[in-house]
This record gives sequence, structure tokens and C-alpha cells, in this order.
Amino acid sequence: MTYTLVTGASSGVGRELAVYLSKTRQLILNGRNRERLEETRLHCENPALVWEYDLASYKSLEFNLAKWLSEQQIEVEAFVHCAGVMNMVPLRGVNAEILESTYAVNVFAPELIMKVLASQRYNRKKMKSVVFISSNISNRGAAAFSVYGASKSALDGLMRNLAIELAPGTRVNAILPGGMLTEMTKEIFSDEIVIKEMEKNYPLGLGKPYDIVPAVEYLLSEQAGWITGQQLTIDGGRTIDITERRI
Amino acid sequence: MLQQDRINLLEEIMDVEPGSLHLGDLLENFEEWDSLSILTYITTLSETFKKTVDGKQVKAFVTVEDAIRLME
Repeated sequence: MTYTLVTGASSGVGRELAVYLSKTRQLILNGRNRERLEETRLHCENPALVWEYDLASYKSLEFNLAKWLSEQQIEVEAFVHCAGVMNMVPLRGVNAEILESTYAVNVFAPELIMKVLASQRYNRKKMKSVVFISSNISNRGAAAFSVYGASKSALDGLMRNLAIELAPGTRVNAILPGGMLTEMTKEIFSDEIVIKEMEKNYPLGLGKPYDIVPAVEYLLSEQAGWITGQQLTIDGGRTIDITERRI
Repeated sequence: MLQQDRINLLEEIMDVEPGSLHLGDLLENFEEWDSLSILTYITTLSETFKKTVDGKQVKAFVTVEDAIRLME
């Protein structure tokens, strides 16, 4: 039996995605909080497995995942990296710990997971398609986003390089969402004034996790069989808007 | 490092099943001994054993024994 691994499945985009994908796929739900993963599992249509692991612990990730896959005796044919760490830190507040903890989840973890899933010995080279949930900041810039923004640029770089290295067996793409109301962004969007200000920048309004979910399903599917190494921006028009001041 | 440990490491580098490689096996018989495996071999030799080899030297290896000889 083949599975689809969804990281960050305990809340936000990851949870919505898992519930949606579970209609047609067998899932492995990853997250660090067992209780919340179980909640996600309850909402899934097909029975899902739970791989409880904190991706911030990237140094033992490879070993842990390989061991877990071998114990379960399953193969993974698709992977969606939804887990992410977002922080708004001006340069003067950046330090090595913030860099490491952000890159651990946003960049190191997906690369190490890919290594295991692309291997013959751990996954029989069964992985066919991968989607990274990046961000529309990946190709842009914003004050206080140097750590998060650069980590998403790195994630997209990883996506392009692996798309080539793993072709033709595995396709790798990224979705670049704009601002969405999720667990990860709830602090930023806790203020009504901030929400109103941000909404002005989004021609189609702020997004919700469900807005990107069908695109993930499409990129994972065989219908996207000739698409690899691509960024698909889904941000309600935010990054193509050159209006001086929206009215 | 024991001889078997070195064979295990080469199996990991080539991403083949444990127990697939034996000392006298010809590397050319393994499709997994490709350019990516050779690159990984060179990196591993440098990182783990502090040895520098180039692609030309590695491509000259004939058997598994040739490949693990430098792993010390």
C-alpha cells in the first residue's frame, strides 16, 4: 500500500490539506503534537497513520523516518511539506538560534525527508510527486522577514534542484501562498487594524488554507505529469499588483 | 573501520540493499554505481576519511574492494 506524507498536519494548512487529500489518498500525518494529530486523523476519510516527530530535531530525522517506514512496512508515493516556522525578526534581532530553528523546519527537514523517500533501500524509489508549501515572499522581500523569507527562497531552490536530480521518477513543485489566516499567522492577524491594512494589499482578499488545497492535489496528481521544478503562486493577486494605492 | 562496515558504507553511498555488495563484485555490474554515487563517494571520503580523490581515480575502480580500500 502506498501513502502520502503530509508534514505539519496538526493544524492550519496542513490539517485542511490532510482532510482534503484523505478523500482519495492514504495519508501519513506528521506533526509534533500527538493529540492534535489525532484530531486531524479523526477528520480524515481514509484511515491515516501518524508519524509523530518534531522536525526541528533535524539531526536524527533521517534515522527516525527510515526506521519508522521500515517498521510500518509501507511505501510513500507522495510528499507534501507543509510544516513551517515563521517569525518576523528585524536583522538586529537575528541570532544563530533563530536561524537554525527556522531553517531546521523550513529547509533541512524537507531535504532530509526527500533523501529518505527518494532512496531505494528505504522507499523502493516509489516517490512520484512532491509539493513544498513555500511562500510568496520567496521571490520578494519585506522588512523583518530576512530569516523566514530567505528560508523559503532556499526551499524553492531545493525544489528546483531536486526536480532535476530526481527526474524522471519524481516531480517536485512548490506552491507560494500569500497571507492566510492560519494557526501560524494568528499572532500577526490578531489585530483588526492589521487585517484591514493587509486586506488592502490583496485584490482578492486574504486567503484561507482551503484556497491552496485543490492546487496541491493537482500538482500531486498524474494530471500534472509534465510539470516539475515550478513555483505556483496563489496569493489573491498580491504579488502582481502594481497599483500605487488601492482604492 | 572493519571491512564489513566499509562495505555497508558503500552500500549506503550507492543506495542498494544491505548485503548486496561483496568484495569481488564488479562495480560496472551495478547500475547504482552512477555519477551521483561517485560524487557521494568522493564527498564521503573527504568528510569522513579526510581524503581527496578525483572522479578519474574513482572511475578507475573495478571492484567493490577497490572502492572500500581508501575508506580508512
